[in-house]
Amino acid sequence: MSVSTEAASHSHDVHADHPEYMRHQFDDMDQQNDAANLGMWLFLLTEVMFFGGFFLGYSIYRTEYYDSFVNGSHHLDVFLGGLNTVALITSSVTMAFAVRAAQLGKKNHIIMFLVMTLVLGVVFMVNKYLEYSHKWHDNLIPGLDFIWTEPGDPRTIQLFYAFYFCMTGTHGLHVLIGLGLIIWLVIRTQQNKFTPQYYAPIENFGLYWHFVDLVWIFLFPLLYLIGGLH
Amino acid sequence: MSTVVKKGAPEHRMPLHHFLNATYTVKSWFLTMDHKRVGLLYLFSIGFFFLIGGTFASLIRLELATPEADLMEADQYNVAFSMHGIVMIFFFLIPSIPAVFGNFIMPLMIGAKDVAFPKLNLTSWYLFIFGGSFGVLTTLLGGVDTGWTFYTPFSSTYSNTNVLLAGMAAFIAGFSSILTGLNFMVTIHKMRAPGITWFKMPLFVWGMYATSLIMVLGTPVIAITLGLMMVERGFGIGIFDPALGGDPVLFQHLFWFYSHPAVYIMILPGMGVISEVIAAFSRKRIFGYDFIAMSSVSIAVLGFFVWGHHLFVSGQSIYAGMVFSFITMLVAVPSAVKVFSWMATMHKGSVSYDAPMLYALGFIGLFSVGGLTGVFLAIMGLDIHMHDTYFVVAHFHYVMVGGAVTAFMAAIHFWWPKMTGRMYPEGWSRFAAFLIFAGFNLTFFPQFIVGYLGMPRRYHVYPEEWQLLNVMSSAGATILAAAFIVPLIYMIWSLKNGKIAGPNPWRATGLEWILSSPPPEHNFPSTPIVREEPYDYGEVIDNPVHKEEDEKV
Amino acid sequence: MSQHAPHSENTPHIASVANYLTIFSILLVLTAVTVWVAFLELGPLNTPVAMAIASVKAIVVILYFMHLKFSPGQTKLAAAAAIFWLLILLIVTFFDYVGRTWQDNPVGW
Repeated sequence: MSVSTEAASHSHDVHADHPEYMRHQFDDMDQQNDAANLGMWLFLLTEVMFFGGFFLGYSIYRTEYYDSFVNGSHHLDVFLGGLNTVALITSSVTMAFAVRAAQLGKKNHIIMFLVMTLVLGVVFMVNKYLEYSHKWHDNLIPGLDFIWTEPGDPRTIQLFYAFYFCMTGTHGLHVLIGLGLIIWLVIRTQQNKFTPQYYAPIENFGLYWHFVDLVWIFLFPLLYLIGGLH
Repeated sequence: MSTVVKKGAPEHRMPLHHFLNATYTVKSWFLTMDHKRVGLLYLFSIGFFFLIGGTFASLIRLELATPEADLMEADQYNVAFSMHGIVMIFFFLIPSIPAVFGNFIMPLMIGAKDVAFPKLNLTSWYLFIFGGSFGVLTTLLGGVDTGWTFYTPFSSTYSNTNVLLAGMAAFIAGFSSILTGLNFMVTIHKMRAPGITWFKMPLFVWGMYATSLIMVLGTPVIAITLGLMMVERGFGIGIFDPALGGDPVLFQHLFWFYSHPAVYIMILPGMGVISEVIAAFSRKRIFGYDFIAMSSVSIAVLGFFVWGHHLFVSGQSIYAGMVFSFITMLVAVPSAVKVFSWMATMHKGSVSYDAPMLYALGFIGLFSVGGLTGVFLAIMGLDIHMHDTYFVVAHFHYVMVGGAVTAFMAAIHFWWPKMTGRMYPEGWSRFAAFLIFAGFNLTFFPQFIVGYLGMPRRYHVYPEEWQLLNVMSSAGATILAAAFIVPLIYMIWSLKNGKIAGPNPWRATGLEWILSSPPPEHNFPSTPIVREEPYDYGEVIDNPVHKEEDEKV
Repeated sequence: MSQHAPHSENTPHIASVANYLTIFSILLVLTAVTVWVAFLELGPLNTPVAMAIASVKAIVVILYFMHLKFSPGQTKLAAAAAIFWLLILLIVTFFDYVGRTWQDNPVGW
């Protein structure tokens, strides 16, 4: 087959046009940014399916053992859960502003908003720690020392708590990883790595952080607010 | 018609600089960001796992040569078939063609310099090795006996073997698969050279894209499923254990939601290879390009709606079974579209019977048998009798070995000259192809019969009346095992002694054949602009002038 | 293919401060609503209502914070595919469980 090889992009010898942040496998920054963006969205797609398995199991058992799940849910701390919801939503806003600051090239604002996001994420994790330690004191950790003294079927209530810990635990792990990545982004911003022409890591991390918020937006009503409160 | 060097034409020389001799350091291989080297790293790794999986297969067939339990007790036999399945599926079949040829050839086919995320690509390989080391550790510590399907509550509560280790092996290997699929999807979306529109890509790239779709959408679900099973085993929680309020069928739903599409991960790349080989060795434009392309994506999508056909006798509702049964029969249609298109491609083509083509022809026949027997099993009434018998075992070996492994052999014979710059000996390659075909059929065809007669799978003993068929199967397995050694030998031999291939020994179309063999480290000197249709073989036959230009790379 | 240029030629959409603060308020209000609704005795409707509110919050986050509204079609397709595939997993599996109750001898449900 005949193929022209003259026109398109330059040869490998000319490196002057490559900014430091442009990777060799790409022809131009548009392509690189598009690829990175699509890559992150696809990764989030895999995360949706990952959590989806949890949501499926949870939904089946909630339908089957509704009363037990209501019972178990009543022992969850709605206040802390609600506070966490507000914390994550706010952190999503600050993250959005961080990306916006990156688009405008305002380095100090980027760092400020990233740090605010980090602080809110830490608040979330501290609340999580408080909740988990309460559960430990109340003997509500399935498989370790689950003791249910009140009325209700301990077998199926333990199932509720199994899902509670698995889902919030996996979510919490994702938050922790996010916090680590924020610190890395702050360092790189401080080192002047980002410009209005190149801020893809911040933008794509933002996508990840919003996803973490999204999962919690569903977890909160499903776990904490079942069957009404009194 | 064999290699291309015409009388009087200059012999080919190995290119001075290529990706293999660019650097020789260990670091340059183990920290490589060259997709071609990553492909070769995978080739060695999956070869290793194929040997392990094959060893377990030999143990199975040895035991089943006699009706009694001569070689192993039941517990040990359970380990043998479980490890065979786990190693072959997770560590050989699922990576095979995508990780080796998807990595090596696909970027070349679209004129790219590399995949979209080379570091992620290398990470995928390391994850594969990391997961594989858990698999090796499991083997060394006595394996698992749950079957590769890890059904609960046996796996989560009652088994006394290394379930956690095996679960971790598959869990980690799954992430390797996810990242590879993600990488390929972005590469295909964003890095095609100018002129290569979606409907001008080679069909192998379509196959890779459809496979990547499944990898990305399905694998996370098995990750979470194995995770939940391991949590249940580790903490004694009853997610899937009925004694504790759980539902074992839920495990099966979650497991097969991935594991059925997984079989399409195993076959779609093979189908992509076959399209390339059939066109090249019929010297004819592929028939029905659009249909083949769209059928790949249809199989990928439809494949997510049929998993319940593995649960027909599990207690699943009849109504769900009916729906799954119907859609399973539908999913056979796109595969049939491909088979007919390949045959139409060969019709009135100038067919030559080199090794890749022999394997491709074998694929068409064997995959048709395997696929059609899948349709038998899709019928709920039939499945009640044939579920968990050797009929199922024969069915999936026909599609996995007769299909996917045969396609892998076709791929390695087709692209070996490109990857190494050498040709293997033609006579031996054809001999091996026939031997593999014969050994394969002798191994697995009797299993259809004995399964239909009622022999259950996963049993180490069976009634005496079935011994003849089982002995035939074990004899076939011996031939098959020996047959696989032949290509191993002549390919290693060819690295130093094979005829130098030149850029395009098959005179095939496709961007990868423009480059030298082996290709240069950075692929194309500059991004190519493509103006031709894919599979432009018609021109090559009609216009002899083009032929010489082709060789003048 | 665009000419080789190290700088991006596409100008990204930069949201306004007001826009982000509006979305923030919507999210906070909806959170309050979802807690308030949980105190109402709606019986079997509690769950669908809670899920509907959560979905609205999710859509707002996805469209505006994640900039999907201003992203190319391929990205929108990827997001839609995520939701679609999650629904396949949930709905088709549920169909099995619901279908068992239609049979004379429902098992495991």
